[in-house]
Amino acid sequence: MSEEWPASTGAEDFRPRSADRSAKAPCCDGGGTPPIGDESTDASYDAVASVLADDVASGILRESYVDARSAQELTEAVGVSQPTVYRRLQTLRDLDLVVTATRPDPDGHHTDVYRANVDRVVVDLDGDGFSVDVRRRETRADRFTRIIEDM
Amino acid sequence: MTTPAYALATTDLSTLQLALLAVEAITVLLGLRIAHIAIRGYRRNDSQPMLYVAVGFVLLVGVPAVLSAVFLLSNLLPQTVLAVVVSMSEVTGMASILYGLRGPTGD
Repeated sequence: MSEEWPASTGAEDFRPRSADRSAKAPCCDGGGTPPIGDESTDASYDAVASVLADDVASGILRESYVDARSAQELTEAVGVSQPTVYRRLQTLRDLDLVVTATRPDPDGHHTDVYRANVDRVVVDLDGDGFSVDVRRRETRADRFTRIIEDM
Repeated sequence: MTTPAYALATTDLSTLQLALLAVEAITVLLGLRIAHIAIRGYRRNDSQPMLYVAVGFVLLVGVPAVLSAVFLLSNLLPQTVLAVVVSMSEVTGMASILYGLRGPTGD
């Protein structure tokens, strides 16, 4: 499960411009993996908006919606360096916008694969400013998969 | 060939056949829809079992349907060959689904 996530990065062009960054910054010391497929994390508007505005992060979401993809495949699909992909994946996982699974290999060399865990993002504006609601939906295909795998 | 009784008999027969064909077509469409959902589950979750389930449904309904259509529309397939191949496809499909249902520990 545990990949070699690049330790927290100094030079980073992708940074949400708000105090919310501190909320998800301290997580990345390699320790805990976020719960997989967990339903509700109320991500902040700034964090989600930054992710969607970022070409690499939004590219990862796009490329991993239909197919679960390995970091290698995402690197090729998005066309940036692998460390960049890993950093975006970490951010996306922290926001629970991406979930991971392990792709078993016959030779025992398992690969982590990633899938977008978002179907709709609703942005609300009211007196308090913007808020965001990330909708996640278990598709029929997911439910079928869960049933078969649990049998 | 043109006696009323014969015409009536063929009409009745073909109506029944048509109805059976329609039900058969619905069965095939539903089976392929299930296979399609299984393939999506396989791709989204990288779930090997779902691949076996999808292949199983295709072998169970898709392959027999195609072969039967070929048999009905042309005379390329002898009926015995059709029966044997369809049965083998169905058995393999069932086995594939069963294999997909096995747990990670093989129970």
